[in-house]
Amino acid sequence: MSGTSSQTLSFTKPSPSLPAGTGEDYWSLDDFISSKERIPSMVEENISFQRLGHICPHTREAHLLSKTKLDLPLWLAKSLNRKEMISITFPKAYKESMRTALSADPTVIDLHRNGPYFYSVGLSLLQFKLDKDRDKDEEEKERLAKTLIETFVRRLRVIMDSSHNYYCANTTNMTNQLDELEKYLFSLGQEALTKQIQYERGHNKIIMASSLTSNSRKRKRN
Amino acid sequence: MDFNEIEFLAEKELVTVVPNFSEDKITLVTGDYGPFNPSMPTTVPLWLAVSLKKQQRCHIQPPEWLNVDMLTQKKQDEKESELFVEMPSNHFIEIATILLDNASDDITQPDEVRALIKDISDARAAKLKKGIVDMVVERATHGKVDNLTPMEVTSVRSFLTQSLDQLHILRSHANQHATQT
Repeated sequence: MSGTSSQTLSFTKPSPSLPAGTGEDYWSLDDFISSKERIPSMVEENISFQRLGHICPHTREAHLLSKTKLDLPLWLAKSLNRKEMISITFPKAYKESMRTALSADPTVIDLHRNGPYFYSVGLSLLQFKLDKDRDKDEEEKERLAKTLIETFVRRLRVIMDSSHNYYCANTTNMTNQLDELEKYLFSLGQEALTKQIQYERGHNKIIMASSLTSNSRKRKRN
Repeated sequence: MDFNEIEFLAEKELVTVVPNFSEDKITLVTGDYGPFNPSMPTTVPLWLAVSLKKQQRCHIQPPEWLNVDMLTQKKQDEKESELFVEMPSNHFIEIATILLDNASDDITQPDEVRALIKDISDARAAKLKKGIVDMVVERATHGKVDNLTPMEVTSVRSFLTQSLDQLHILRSHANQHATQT
């Protein structure tokens, strides 16, 4: 848990940036939310969890037996995987079929439905043990990392173009297909555009009283 | 930085005014200005010039680049060059906007000048965006952004720095896996 992110804790403006360190970012709410992502897992051979049968909805056993398949949240799957108690397969958004689609044209994929923390969860998956064979495991991770970068770069172009051009328009059409991180970047572009246009149109010339003073009760007495 | 703050900085640039009143030297924090004599040109900061102009106590002599000929030339240069062309002032958009808004009667062909300024800034903005895309997509390690004005930097600052930050994080994670094998 060595999150060495430069982000400070801020509740007013969420900034779903990726964790900078190799671990999670302790203070990031988005990181916290993304860790609930379900990971298809399977209990390893020769391992069983006593009296935990009830966490798997489709079995009536009292114990969680070996080779049971179930979805576990990312945070749990990660530590169990590290102790080699479970093996995992990729969630749907990272499977081969999805990757083919992403390499064909990432700009048309709905990453909100397939995420909405596509990149953040993707980075976490890189820390799993994906295959018992070390070489295969590394190969798989390299391919996943490549997909993540390619997707981000190619989508970023569209996001930049649209975020610097939509003004006073309904952007939900655009943003409802974006991953949370992309949405954040989109909003940054929009903010800059709005400020620039407001400056150009001279909206800033009118100096307004701070809302704090105009709402203050003390002054309204007379 | 904000656009308002950049405009504030631009107002410190000096311009020449022709006053129609007499006044001794005035001492301001940034320096002494004046003395003011009718029909004797003198240099003052832009904000002071605008203030005097509003009281109809001076004419502003527009900077030598603020005319159709010079700007047409700059526009041509900007279109032909692949890199950003050096502009006559780091704050050319702001100065032109302020002068056109407050002293358009001192500028010859103000409408044409306004259109040219807009054309130049649009051409530069398009160039900047294209440069960013090339930089991100083609994995260039650096971009040459000489002669970029503070205004233009501000328009892409937050988006660009954050995007590159996130991209860097993605890449460093990926590289970790490449080196571990």
